[in-house]
Amino acid sequence: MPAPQLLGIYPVESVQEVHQSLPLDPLGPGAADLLAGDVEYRLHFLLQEAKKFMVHGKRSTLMPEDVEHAMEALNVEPVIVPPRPLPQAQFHAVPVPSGTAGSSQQLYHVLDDEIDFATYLREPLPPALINSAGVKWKAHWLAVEGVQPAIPENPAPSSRAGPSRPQATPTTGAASLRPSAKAHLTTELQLYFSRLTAALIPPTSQLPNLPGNPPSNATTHSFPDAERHRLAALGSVRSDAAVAGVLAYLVRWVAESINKTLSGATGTIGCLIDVVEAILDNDVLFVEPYLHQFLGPLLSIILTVPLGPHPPSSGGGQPTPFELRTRASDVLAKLVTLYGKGYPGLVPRLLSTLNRALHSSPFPSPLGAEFPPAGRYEGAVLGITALGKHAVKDALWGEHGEKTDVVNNLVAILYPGDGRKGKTGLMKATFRALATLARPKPTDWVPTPPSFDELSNFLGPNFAKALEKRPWMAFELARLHKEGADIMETDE
Amino acid sequence: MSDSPTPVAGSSAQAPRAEPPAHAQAVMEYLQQHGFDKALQTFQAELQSAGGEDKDADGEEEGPSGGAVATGVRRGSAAGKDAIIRAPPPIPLDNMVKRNIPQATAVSVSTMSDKITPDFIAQAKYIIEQLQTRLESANADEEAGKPSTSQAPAFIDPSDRVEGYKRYRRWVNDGLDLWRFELDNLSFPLFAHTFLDLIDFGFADAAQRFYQENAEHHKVYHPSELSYLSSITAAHQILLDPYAQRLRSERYQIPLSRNSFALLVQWLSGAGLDEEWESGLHGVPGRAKEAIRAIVNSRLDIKVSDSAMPLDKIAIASSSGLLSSLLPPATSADKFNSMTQLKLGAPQMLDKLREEVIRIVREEDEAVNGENEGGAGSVANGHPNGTDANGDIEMGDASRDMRTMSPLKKTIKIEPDDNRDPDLVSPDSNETLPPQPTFYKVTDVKREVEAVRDKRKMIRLGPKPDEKAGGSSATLPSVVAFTMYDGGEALTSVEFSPDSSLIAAGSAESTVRLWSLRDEKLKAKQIGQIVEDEGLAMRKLVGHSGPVYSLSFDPISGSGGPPHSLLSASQDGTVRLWSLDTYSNLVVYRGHNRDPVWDVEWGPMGVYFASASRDRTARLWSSDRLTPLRMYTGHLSDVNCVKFHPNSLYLATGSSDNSCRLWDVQRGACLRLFLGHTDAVTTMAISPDGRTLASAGLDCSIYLWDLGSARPIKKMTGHNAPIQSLSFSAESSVLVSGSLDCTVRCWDVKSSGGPRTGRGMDFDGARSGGMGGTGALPMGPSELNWEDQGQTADLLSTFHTKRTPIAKVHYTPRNLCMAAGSFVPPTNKAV
Repeated sequence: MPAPQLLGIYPVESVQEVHQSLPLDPLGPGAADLLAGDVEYRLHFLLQEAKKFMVHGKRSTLMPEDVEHAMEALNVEPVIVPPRPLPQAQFHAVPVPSGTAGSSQQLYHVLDDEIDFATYLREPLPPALINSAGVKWKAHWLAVEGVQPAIPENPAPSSRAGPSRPQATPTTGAASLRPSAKAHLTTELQLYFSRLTAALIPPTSQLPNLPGNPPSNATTHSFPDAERHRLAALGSVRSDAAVAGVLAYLVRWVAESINKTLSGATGTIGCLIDVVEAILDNDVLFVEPYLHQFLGPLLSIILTVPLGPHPPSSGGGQPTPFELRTRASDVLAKLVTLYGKGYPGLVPRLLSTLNRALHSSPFPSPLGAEFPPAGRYEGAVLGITALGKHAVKDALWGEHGEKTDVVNNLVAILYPGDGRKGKTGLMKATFRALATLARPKPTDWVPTPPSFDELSNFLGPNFAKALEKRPWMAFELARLHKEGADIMETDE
Repeated sequence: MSDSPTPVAGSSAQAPRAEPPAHAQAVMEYLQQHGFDKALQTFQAELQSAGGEDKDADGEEEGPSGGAVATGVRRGSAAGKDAIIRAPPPIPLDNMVKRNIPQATAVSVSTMSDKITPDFIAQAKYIIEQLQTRLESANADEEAGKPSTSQAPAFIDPSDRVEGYKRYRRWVNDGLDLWRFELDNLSFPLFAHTFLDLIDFGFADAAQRFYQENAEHHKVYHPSELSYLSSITAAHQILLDPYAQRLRSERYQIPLSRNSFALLVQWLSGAGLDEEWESGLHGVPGRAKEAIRAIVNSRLDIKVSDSAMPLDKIAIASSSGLLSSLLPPATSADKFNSMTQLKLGAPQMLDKLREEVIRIVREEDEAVNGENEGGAGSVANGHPNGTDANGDIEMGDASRDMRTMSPLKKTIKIEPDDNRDPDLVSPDSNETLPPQPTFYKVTDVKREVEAVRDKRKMIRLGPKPDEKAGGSSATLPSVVAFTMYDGGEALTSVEFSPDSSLIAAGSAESTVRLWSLRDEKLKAKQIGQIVEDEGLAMRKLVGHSGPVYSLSFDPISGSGGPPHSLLSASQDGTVRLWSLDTYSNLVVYRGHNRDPVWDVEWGPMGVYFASASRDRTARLWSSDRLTPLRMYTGHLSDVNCVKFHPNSLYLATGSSDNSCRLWDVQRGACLRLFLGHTDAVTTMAISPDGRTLASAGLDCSIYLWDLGSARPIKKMTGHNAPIQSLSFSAESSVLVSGSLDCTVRCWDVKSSGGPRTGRGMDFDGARSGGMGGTGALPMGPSELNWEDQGQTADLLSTFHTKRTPIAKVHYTPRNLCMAAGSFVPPTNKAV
């Protein structure tokens, strides 16, 4: 019976390579597997021990010497590592022709040269050692009776980024924003600004009660207070000319808030998208100078993975990431239709960004999910849809549908094992995009979709499968495939 | 995929071939009754192929996949049909599908071939092997004339175990909030044993998947255990790994209140409104519960408390786990901790010494009185609470006036502890370490006089007693930060001398550096010569051959004069004693062999010191002997820190086995066990009043323990990186902690703590739990700052440094807090 396959991260090939490099008898069946598992276990053990040396060294970074000490403690022959200020030996890559043809692997090792002690000692010390006058210390008041004095040695209250807390936001928005707003604005405008921003974002605790979009069928007075305030504030942004006074601050506030809440409650992001849309809706405002400030955040919402909190909160009424991306791309579409003509560089730039996102190779899920996240691609397709027909044709369709390969391949990678390929977000988004190329469905149309084989021939099996439920789309795509892109011109 | 099923089918097909057909019938019957549809299909397929028919390839391919999903049968492939018809008695197709619901929903037709994994084959093989052995034994039984059906415990099927764990978690999560924490506490041992079972049966893939899916849930409370488990990938490693061994050999103790225990029993017996139970033991749900029940029965030890109230979270944490190896046999943690009475009082001062100290203090006061004889008396009398005045800081003339009071009051102030803690038993004079001498020396007098002065000039911290109504009227400490720079991250230990005249820093490159904090030069004496040299601003002590992990100044002169010796502990396994007169190494103490010594501390009266090492022991040494006097053994992992009780009778140790212990220094016996931490304990502090132990470590939380009862007082959270150092203020009311997250935080020792509430209208703290409040918008109107999430209410204040992880915090006797750390320059290299 073969040994059960061990699922470690230590590659079996590595054991085989080492074995081949030594004059040993051939490995028995399964021996490499067992050895790899054992090596991995020992490595774990060694690291567990090394961690203790790191902890007692009062550090949060594991250093080579920790491992060295751990090896010493475990009675393993240590690999001699030069002490820290001295230059560390580099790893050298050696290509190894492996058994399977075509894929040559890299083997890394440290060159173990013989060192002549006399010359080694005569070598100049590294600059870090020469220039340092040794350890020194300096004392300062960290706190005086519980209050941190504002001296250069202490961090400013707003910037509390420490080396061990890289996730700390560099500025807390209101703190960094208010003073500047205070310096330039009248008291009335300041008050207006603070009320506006407070009302536009309902507190997180109330988010589950309200949707990102106000439902059309509900009457205004049935909303909770927070939602009524929000709608009023949105109305103000949409129509008031007074917004012009605080526009610069409002735009900055929106941009920063979006950047900060990308992994926050999806309802909050929805609210912020509403604000962007409201600003664009206001035709009294002169928004052009701030356009570029909107683009970044909007693209962030469209492309960020993962969007929203993790684990996704299933609280009632909160929009899903897909809905958010759709909504953001709608706003992007609005922006493009309003200003795309005036700024000819805008659409190509957006298109190239989205295209790059679409063609980036899938990466493992940062949250440890089984499959690579699909959100970025969904977002990219949605964004391209927002840019209009030409963009869709350029990026997703091509002349005769040849560019659909990208999506087809992505679907296979992103949703393996999922039987419902047609219902995945990416497919939905793609059909939304392609629908802009298709003609409207005539009411008297009798479903005569092309056959499965025909479709899968030029669109790939995943597409064809998804098209089973969309006969008109299938028909149109087949037509577009046959007639080519000149359809576009006739449509225009 | 193509090559893996072949050898299996071939090898195991031999066994059925050897069996008489009657056995095969019985096997199939059993499989069908018990719902092992996958196995049944495989078995049938193999029987077919073994029968020598030319369907070989067909049977192999169809068997496992058809078994995975009933639709395989419905599609009506020849081999599948054949198998079903052969299976006695034929069951309706609907029933078949129903029984296969879990698999059928999970797998679609197109991905069926994915199911034939090595795992699946291992599983099928395992079941078949088990069946064979069972049949054989059944035959043997029948021959002996016994009924064989009674001896059938639940069958071992990996998917059942995983399913059982999932069902348990789902049940707990859907249940009442009130009992959730208690019952959730049970899910970690269930997780660990399920994982180990899977590994043990050889389903490494399934085990990995199980671990990855479910480990996240346990990360908060069992980080270190998870890291042990994660390294296990094969059955033989269970025998190697010490933690897995303990899990297997000991019973995991779980405290439950009466009600939650009743709930658990109800669930396990399936007596609830569980519709799944209708399908009986032979269905998947039944077997899943059976798996859980097997773990509960054989691996756990559930302690049911008398109270119907849900247990306190901290109490749960401190009384669950693998306790039996930590404690002497047949003792519960509570019983063990209450077996002995502790003498936590301060030792009595020698009568003659006390008289001398009183005399000197009185003389000093009279001298001061003499100076300000004029109007000072009236001021002192006019002061509303003159007796309390020596709590003030010396600030110019006004405060000096306050100290003009009658000598009678002063004598009371010399021994405030006598009045304050009548319930603490003081040790006898011959019990302390070293026993109190019958004479006193000049340094003793100096030390005690200085202690009285310190008491008087001390800054009183914590809430002011007269302004209890106001919430924010607490006096907070002043903190001086000493930032080392140009040393990289090589700083491994820092220590301040008791009189705050020296700072010592041990480095990773094995040296100890000494500086004067008073801007004086450090002058060295030569042995045999009286004249001192000119002195250096910094002295380097060279001798160790590894990083210096701990330093300790001798406490004999107290704050009355500079210390004369320094102890250092290092990775090279030695403790060294340095003279601070000659700045040379006097003694090398070897005893921990080559194991690194993590911590060393002088006893509160000098002469003796204790060390803690990776060899899982703490040792007591006398500075005039080269071998240790006592060994304190009992910890199951490295001893990370040692701390003497202020009266020198007891020694506290903190260890990587997530526990702290209190030892009788003289007898070497463990008196108290403190359980509750979820990761290694790396630092401790004992309050100067001798009642409270504070411990903290890698789990970023601080526990306060009552030494007398070993009960946890409270858990204080707020740091978000490992805590490196703790220190109590002189009146034991404020605790400061220094951490790698570059903050110094002050904690209120006396308040009740608990999660932070109030502050407007947020409920997020409870809802978003451990996520650090990602849902909160930083600039929202009344939103809690994201940094405040997870902080307990007793956090008085947080002082951030720029980029200095704090390695040491230290209160001087006058309640000035000193913090030290090494500046981490921003680098581009370290990403």
